[in-house]
Amino acid sequence: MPPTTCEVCKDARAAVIRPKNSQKICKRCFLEVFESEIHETIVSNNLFYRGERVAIGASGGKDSTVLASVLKTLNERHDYGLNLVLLSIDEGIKGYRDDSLETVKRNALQYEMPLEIVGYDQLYGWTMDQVVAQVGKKGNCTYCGVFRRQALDRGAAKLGIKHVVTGHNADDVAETVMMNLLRGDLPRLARATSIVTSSAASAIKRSKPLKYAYEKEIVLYAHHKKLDYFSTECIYSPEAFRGSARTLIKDLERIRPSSILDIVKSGEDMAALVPPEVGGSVSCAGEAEEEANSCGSRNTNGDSMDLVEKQLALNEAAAERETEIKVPTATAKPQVTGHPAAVSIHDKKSNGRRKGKIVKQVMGQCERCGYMSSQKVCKACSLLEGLNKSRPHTSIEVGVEDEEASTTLMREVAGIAISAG
Amino acid sequence: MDDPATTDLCVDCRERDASLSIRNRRLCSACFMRYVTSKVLKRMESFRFKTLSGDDRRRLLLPVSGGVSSLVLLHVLDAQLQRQIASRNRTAYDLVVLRVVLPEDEGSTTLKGDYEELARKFSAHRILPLLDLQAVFKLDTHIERDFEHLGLRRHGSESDESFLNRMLSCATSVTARADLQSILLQRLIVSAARQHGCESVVWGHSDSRLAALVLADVAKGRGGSVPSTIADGPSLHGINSNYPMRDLFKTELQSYAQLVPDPLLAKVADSGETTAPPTAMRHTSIDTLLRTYIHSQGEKYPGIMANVVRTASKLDGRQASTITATCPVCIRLIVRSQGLLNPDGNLCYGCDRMRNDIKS
Repeated sequence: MPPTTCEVCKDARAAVIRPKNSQKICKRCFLEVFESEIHETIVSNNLFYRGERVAIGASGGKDSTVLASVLKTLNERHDYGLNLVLLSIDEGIKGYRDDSLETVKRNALQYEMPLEIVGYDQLYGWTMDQVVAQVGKKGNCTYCGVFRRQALDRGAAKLGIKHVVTGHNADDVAETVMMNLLRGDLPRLARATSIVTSSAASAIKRSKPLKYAYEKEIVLYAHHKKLDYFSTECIYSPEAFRGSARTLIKDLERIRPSSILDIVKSGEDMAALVPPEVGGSVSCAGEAEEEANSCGSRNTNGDSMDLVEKQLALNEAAAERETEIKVPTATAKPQVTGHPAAVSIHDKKSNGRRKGKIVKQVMGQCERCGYMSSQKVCKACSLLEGLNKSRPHTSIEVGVEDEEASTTLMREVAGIAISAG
Repeated sequence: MDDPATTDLCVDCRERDASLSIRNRRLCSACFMRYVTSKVLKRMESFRFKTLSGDDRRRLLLPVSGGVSSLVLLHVLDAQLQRQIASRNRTAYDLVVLRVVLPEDEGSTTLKGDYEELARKFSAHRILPLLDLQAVFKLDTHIERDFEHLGLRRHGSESDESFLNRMLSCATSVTARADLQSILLQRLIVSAARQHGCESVVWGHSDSRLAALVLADVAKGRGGSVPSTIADGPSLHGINSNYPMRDLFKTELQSYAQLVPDPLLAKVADSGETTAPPTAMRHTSIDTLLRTYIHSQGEKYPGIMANVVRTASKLDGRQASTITATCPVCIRLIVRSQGLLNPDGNLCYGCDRMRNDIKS
């Protein structure tokens, strides 16, 4: 069989079948077309302005590594005039983050970009390993997500930067669309697809230049560019809704490769159809969400499908019984095992039934840390409060799962770290 | 005596023994049947006597597919109309029943006999003769002009049947073929409703079916038309759509069909979702994949799957700012939201995507 020639340059030998549209093209054309598509995304959305300082949320994984590499290339080729910085979060997960941070450190040298690392332990007094020891493997992703979102903002603020770009790709966006549909979260459905998320209250803008890029093409790009990235996934458990949506997306992609972009488009259109009183609420910067990604975006949310299922069943049962006297919160208290702070981030909404009215978020400041929040105390502080409460009581420990013998010592050490800070 | 551990009384009537678990409640079969009926009739309230003015005769088209849901709907509505006759000697609406023969039904030995049996049993209503899918070319006067947008044109003196077959064989993927066929079917049913003076089509879609349709729409880039897929009320076809079974799960309808002493229903009760073993992915359509997904996940998480429709129905198809026109092929609103993915031309994204898979 004669070798296939590239469908683009009609010259070189085709080496890549584009996952996006099955086009057979050569390596050089692939790299070029991949870069130029991202360039188009950047230009048509006016993502940057000349002289802007931009922090790249870098985890060392394929997405953020490709993002950093492509942005460097495009910045030089098209003279964007950007000042690029790598910003990494150290969640404190041994055997995962410490290794991937080494990759980011090498990237910083390879791309000649300054690197800033912000650690959970400095910011919150807790590493994720300690949190997991405390709350167990279930639901710890809520903590990680809430913490990361703030940590990125704080890291950017520390650098005096107002724009953070993240490596979310088309697959992540499609997954989020399906996930929010499955768990009935219309406000998030409304904002998950937008390429720029900036809330009125937040000084820091976020964008995802890889929004239309296929995960498979990102892998191919990294491979052909011989990029140095870290491919192990987070060692803590993935989240059920994400998992379910992810499997579905992969199956759909197998049936029709364009599905991923088709879902992104569906998400964009549906976002436009979300009534303003639902979707208009300011994106809450204190929440763990689709934004918070560096563990492959799988692990961002703590509410398991079982829990939501249970709540829905209770809500329905309550609705059936409902007479004229309406008791707002009596029935549907979710049954959360373990620590009270492990309640899903949806607890506000799903305790009892929400009546017709939608409460609009009003942004203020957390009275403890000053971070913007729609509540008196921001999500991170309230999660921390739950964690810290149990610290002095290490000897009591009722109902805490997955406890390890070493935790007590770890907590004591961390306790010292806090009082010292 | 009220020891809950030993007694299993129906939680509704508290008289008979419960035999079914329905949404975490133990019910006897009589109360369960009442439950199904009341869920359907609640959705039929806009067709009560009260809403009739003067001597209006109101007609509703009920398309049956041979599946369990539409038959249960016919059964429930038939019983309602019989009660109305008994108490007032007239009905609040007339039912017109239609069955379309799809290409895959051809060669079915039982279809004709089953439909005749149905016609005998429900002879109080107007039962239309079986209609082939290609009848759409006769009943829908715009369809040939509209389908030229897909590059599909009739060859000279080609018959309706061979035009239809050629059209379907132009689809290069199973998904595009299924998409095309469901648009043809929808347009045929709506045209038939118009022809017979029906103001509304009452569809037999269960909640589970609607959830699968929503997810399939999303997966096919038709997210913008989700509201028109599942909304009750006026549609762009000029004929209303109603989904009175939207509050019931497919499995509940199957249980209902098993309980009703009716051989017609008993026959379809088991033939429901057998969930064929996953064949090769590329021979599966997106619609089939999502039907299977809803079915399999629905066993474990019925509430979550039910919630999909509830969530999707909060989307508002009337947000004027983003809506530009009606797609001539699927007759739904075109949403042109911000983003890089809007197609050129006058088709919606989903139909444009389908056209890419049609080689004529």
